[in-house]
Amino acid sequence: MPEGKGQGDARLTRRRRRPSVWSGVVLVVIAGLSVASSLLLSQGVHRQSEALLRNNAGQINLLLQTSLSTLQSQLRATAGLTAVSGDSPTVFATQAAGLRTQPVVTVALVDSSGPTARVVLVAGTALQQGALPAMLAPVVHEAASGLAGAVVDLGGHKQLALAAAPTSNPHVSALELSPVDPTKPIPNRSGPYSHVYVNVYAGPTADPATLFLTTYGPRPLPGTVATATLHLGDVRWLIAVSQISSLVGGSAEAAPWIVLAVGLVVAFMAAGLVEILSRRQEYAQELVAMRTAELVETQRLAVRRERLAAIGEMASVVSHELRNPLSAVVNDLFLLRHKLGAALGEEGDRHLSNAENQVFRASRLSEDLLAYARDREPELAPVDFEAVVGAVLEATPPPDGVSVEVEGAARFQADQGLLTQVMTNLVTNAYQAMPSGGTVRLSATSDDGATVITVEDEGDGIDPAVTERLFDPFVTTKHEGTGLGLAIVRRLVTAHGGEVEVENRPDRGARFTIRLPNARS
Amino acid sequence: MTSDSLSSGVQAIVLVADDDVAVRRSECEILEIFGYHVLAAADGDEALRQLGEHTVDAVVLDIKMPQRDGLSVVRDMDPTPPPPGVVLVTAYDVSADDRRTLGGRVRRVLQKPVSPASLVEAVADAVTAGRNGE
Repeated sequence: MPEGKGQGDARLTRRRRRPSVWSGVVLVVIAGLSVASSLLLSQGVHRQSEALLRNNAGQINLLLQTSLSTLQSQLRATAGLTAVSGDSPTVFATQAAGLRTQPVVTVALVDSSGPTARVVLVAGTALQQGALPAMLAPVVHEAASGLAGAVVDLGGHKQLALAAAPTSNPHVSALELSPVDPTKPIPNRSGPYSHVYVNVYAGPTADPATLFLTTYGPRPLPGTVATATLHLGDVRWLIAVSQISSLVGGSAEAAPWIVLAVGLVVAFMAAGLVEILSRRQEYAQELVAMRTAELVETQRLAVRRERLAAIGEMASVVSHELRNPLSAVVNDLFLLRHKLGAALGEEGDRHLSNAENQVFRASRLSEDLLAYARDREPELAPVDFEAVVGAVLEATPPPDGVSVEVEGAARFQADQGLLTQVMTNLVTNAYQAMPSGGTVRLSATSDDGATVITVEDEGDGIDPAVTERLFDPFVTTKHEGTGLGLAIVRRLVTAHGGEVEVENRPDRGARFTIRLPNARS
Repeated sequence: MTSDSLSSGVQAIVLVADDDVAVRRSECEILEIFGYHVLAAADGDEALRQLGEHTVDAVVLDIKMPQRDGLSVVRDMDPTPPPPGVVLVTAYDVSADDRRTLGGRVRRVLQKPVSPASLVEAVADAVTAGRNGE
């Protein structure tokens, strides 16, 4: 059935399908694994980044410690040599020149042997000889045991003060003052630490008041911050570091995202593949189900055809075998009536009439059976619809209360005898459908394609339950009748290559429609 | 009703050939009531023999009979004397081809069961045809 295949495919593809459960499961599992892997990788990268940051802080700490240690030695040497030379300004100037890396840096020699500390010699502008400003006194005092430092406000400017005392003369200290401005960052655009922000506090905590060096600004450092504490004598400095750009490399930073993206793509692709396979399987199953249904239907029709053929064969045999006995009975009933004549009497006449009627019925059944079973090729000739209907109505006139309307004056090719039988059966059927009267409408139209004949009645219509079997032999909805009339109609119409169908009219009654192909005369 | 067979003054002779004895007997009796002289044959061969022995005006022939069927009898009837008018009585269909082959000899084809009135009317027609050599 090639046409069945085409329709089937169209029906299957038109259907809207829900995604399969398995494709959803595959999507969720692979996407979940991707997210988990990405998170693990991300944590690893983060830990690595923190370790590198701590490492940077440690290195900066070491660097500062070395610088401070060198500075401490130089300050001690300055203080020691100057004291030994009897506070020689010349010696001091020579020593201080090495410490004043910039003109704004001030170097002073302080004597703390008296009740108040006193500036003995000075190079630079931040201090003058004489009394030491009070906020520097603790720095100088602490320096007695090594190195001391603090951020102090001197003359409206913040200065980083570092003091060191020579081990030989505990009352003398060398003091260095460098102006600092923690509100202005000093970016480190090149060098080994250009990828980190650095804050250095002249104290053990991240106190903004002690901030004296920043590459970022006075605000807290952004992101993850690693710290290191510098210990040198009494100095406790805090070094804070955070990263500007990735310390572990761009590809390592991107790795979790790449894993996530690739994982999601794979998840969707795998889910799509599962969905395609699932749909193909579903399609195949539906196709099998549909083909099975078609086969079952084909088999049902074949069984039905065989059954009808068997009925036809049996009808033929029974009809022929009935005809001889019926002939003899008809003749003998005639002879009985003829020979008895008046002796028959009223009662005898009634019984005989009854027997004659029943034989007439049996004859009609036999004729119908033969008409149904007859395998006759139609002899096509031009027929006039009105003439056929005229002959039918003359032979089977409408009963009382029934009128007949005829429309259409079609001429077409048909077997006149067979068409007459078809119309007789349909018209008789219509009469019987209207026991209380009504109108039978007959019409025929013919064009190049086909002739369409309709017979309409105003009866109760056809029970939908029997519509399919209505044209089968021995199916009847009437109390009397052989159940062969419509079966004969279909057989004769089919013999013409046509088809007949029945439907209930919208208002009331039934409409039989016959289509005969290419029948124009 | 007996006037048909007697109108010519000579009693018409009708041959009834049917292998079914009940049918044959009852048809013979009916035709006798209507004034015909009736001959009976139980099969085709016997029918042909009777036709050779008697001058028959009309033949009522069953088609399906043993030995020789009714159609064969019609074909083999001696054509020299005017052949009798033939009424075919059958439980089967007669094809259009057979009707054409048998030509004008067959006056009527009647389907069993045949009503006595139809039988008598067909026989009267066949007798008239047989006598006129139609």
